[in-house]
Amino acid sequence: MSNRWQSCETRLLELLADQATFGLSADEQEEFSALLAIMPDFDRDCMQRMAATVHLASFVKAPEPLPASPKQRIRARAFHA
Amino acid sequence: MEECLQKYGGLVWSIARKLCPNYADAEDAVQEVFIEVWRHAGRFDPQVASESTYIAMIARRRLIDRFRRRSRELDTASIQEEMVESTSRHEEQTEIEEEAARAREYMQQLRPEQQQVLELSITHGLSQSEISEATNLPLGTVKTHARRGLMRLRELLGANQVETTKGDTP
Repeated sequence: MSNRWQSCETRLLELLADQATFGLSADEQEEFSALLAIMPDFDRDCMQRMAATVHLASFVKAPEPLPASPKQRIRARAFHA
Repeated sequence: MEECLQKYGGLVWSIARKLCPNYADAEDAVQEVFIEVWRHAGRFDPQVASESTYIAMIARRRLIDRFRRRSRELDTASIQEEMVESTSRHEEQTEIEEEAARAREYMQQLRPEQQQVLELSITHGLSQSEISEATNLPLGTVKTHARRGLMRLRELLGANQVETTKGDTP
């Protein structure tokens, strides 16, 4: 039982990694949903956080700043939200 | 809201510029990202991830959704690039830069081929087959490197979080 749980967890992690990188096919998405149904409390954002970490690693000193035009539009949308 | 925009505007913009096909699309995308950030602000848990990681995660997810949505309704019209309006630097960048330096340290602990595949996939938005072509690696190997790289990062960050938690205990 424990081994089965572990293999489900490993497979779920693989699918989460695939989802965070190349996306899932329809079959994989189905498998993914079935595994999540077995482990509903599984941290499904864990690989997305790792992908965000990879992005952060590429963040350079003095990056290009957010231009003024989208900044103004964001402020306006936030104000009306 | 203003603080978040000042602090993370550069980070979200840099991700948007890498993952969006053109400047105009990146401008629209960052708006969606920040609206999403505010909508989900209550879900942020500092025990699980730093603010920078959380915002980068939302940005990535939103941009990828947008990209996939756009791919389905793709039109071939191209939009001209515009000049970037320059604004001043902000001190808040330091915190993100420190976070980025830590992320680079973790990345450097991965095998070179895992680093390469993850950078091409996540940072540059290349597909599995594009990476296979660029690196001469079989498709399956590309996927394996991506999986193992992310899993290794999870181990490294998990170990670091345990150490941090231990350190925080009075």
